[in-house]
Amino acid sequence: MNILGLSSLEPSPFGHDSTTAIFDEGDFFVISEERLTRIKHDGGYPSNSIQLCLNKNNSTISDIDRVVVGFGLEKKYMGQQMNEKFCSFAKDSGFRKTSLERKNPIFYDHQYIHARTGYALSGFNKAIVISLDAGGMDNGECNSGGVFIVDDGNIQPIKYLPCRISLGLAYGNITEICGFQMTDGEGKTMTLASMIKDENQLDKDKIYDHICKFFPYFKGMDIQTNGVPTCSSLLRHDTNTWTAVDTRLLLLKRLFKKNLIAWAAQKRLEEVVIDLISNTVDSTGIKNIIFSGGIFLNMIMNMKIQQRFGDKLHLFFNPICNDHGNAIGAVLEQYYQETGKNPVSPNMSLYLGSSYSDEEILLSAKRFNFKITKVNRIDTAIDLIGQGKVIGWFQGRSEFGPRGLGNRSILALATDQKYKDIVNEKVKKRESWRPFCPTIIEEKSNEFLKNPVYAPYMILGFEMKNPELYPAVSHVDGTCRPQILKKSVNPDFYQVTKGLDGIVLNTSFNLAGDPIVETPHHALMTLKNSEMDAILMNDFLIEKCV
Amino acid sequence: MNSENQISELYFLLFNENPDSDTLEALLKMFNEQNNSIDYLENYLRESDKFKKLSIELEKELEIAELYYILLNRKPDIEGLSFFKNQLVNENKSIDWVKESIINSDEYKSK
Repeated sequence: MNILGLSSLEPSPFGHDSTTAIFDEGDFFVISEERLTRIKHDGGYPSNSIQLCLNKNNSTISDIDRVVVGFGLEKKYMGQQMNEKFCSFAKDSGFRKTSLERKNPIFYDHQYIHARTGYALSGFNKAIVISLDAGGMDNGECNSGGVFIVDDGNIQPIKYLPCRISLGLAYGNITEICGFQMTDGEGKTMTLASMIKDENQLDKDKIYDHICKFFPYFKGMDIQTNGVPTCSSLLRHDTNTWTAVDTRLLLLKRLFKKNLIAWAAQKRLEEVVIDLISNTVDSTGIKNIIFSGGIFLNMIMNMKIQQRFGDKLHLFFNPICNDHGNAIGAVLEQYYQETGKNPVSPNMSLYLGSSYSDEEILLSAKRFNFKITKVNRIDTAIDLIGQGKVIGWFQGRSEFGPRGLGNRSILALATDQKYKDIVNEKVKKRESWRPFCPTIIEEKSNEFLKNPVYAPYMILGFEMKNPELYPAVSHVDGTCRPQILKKSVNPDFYQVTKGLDGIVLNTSFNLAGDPIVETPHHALMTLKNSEMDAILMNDFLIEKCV
Repeated sequence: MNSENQISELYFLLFNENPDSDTLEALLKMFNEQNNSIDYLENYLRESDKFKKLSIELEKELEIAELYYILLNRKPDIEGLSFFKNQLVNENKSIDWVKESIINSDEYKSK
């Protein structure tokens, strides 16, 4: 059985993060549309990623047994039209309408699929899934999250949160008034939140009080509001941009600095989600908890959850919790429906994209005036990084999701602040205050981190034991968001990290505003357009000619 | 964005008006002397008497807006906001009076 899974809301105006997954004979190939179109969060019809998935599988649409979509349909209005329009878009994108229509795509409910994805990767048998995001569609109704009990694969919703009271949208609005783009800049808001060292307590108390009045909160498992935030949206060709027009927020923006606003919103978000977890555990008695939905990309909140409940509950943070992941989730649901089984193992590898041969790399490199040398990649990486170079590390299958996990990564020494500055300003060309993640080999996690648990996906923050020794990868509050790496997960990258005393700065291989590089050409363009020193691509050292 | 635009945008955000040419020139000079730090300039402007005076009114507007959202579940209309702000700033009315006024309104009663 093969299944083509899509995460795409087209032709709705709310599309973002379109992704395609193909599952055949137990193997996944997954690629987000943004990696191919180079439009970050591309929410258009995923024709490029569908085509690539089919190519990788040596198949055409007619060979596909099932087509499934990880977005539910709204009953009253869009739902009736969606299937037809979906197929029409397929036709416009070069696929014969009849080919896709004959497959009769199944639209699975949105939070339900977030729950399926998290559950499948968690390894738990019976668990609660808490899914929170800006909005989704389940049972024909719009919502902003859900709580599910899963027992032996059978998912039962016990609560849907109403769409109009959305934690994701509230935090997104805060992001927008902090000067970042909603649905993209929430990570920046989270980072900014800890930069309040010089602020006075009176201002902090005031803003916190106002944010509490603005932010949704929980009574039991019911979400409450002090007035639904108002915002407007602008439809563009590839995605949708939101603007906060809430009077309260516009006044807050004038009255308080954005770091204070971010701090208060982050604090409140953590508090209300922790309340929901407590209330859910009290109400169900279940102690295995899975977190899914885009809100759980917030690794500082995840850290607080881990610190609060880690010794009492078994927690799993879904690494593909945002809407990209629903392409995989829809496939997992279909597989479960047909076999009653879960085809993936706990903590599955996310190296699910393309790899490139030496010939393909050399062919791409011919278009550039770069010096190419055949080397031992591991030794060379250790040498160059040890000498203070910033290198691109492009190896094997690309990672799925928003993190560079050691196959499409930019690497540098973790031990000197200057590498943070160089990578921010000269390589990635982004704000100087933004921190980087480290990769840490598992055996040394206890040396670097307080109370470490295995965290292979950069989805969970930790406090560092000696952040001053690793200023390039620690934030101002002494936290970091590491990839804790086992040798078996990525042996080459493990050796590189081990050769650098077990810790290395690892950031996704892209420039600010770009998606992570997918092909050798994308990586070479990044080398050309930045002050990165070199790329190691398979066993080729690629450098600019002096 | 060039320095002038950046400073003008910040000024407009805080004061809801464009800086006059002398003010802009002075701010630009300060910006250049402080290593182009917009944060420094923001702190400076927020500490100014002009902003402190303005912020008293903004805080009152915010409190009124919060009551609108809490009690009426909507953003305040310009007239309502202006009326209540005037009552608080110029007529020495309290925020509790505003709350009571909204609760006594037909709109609230009909909810």
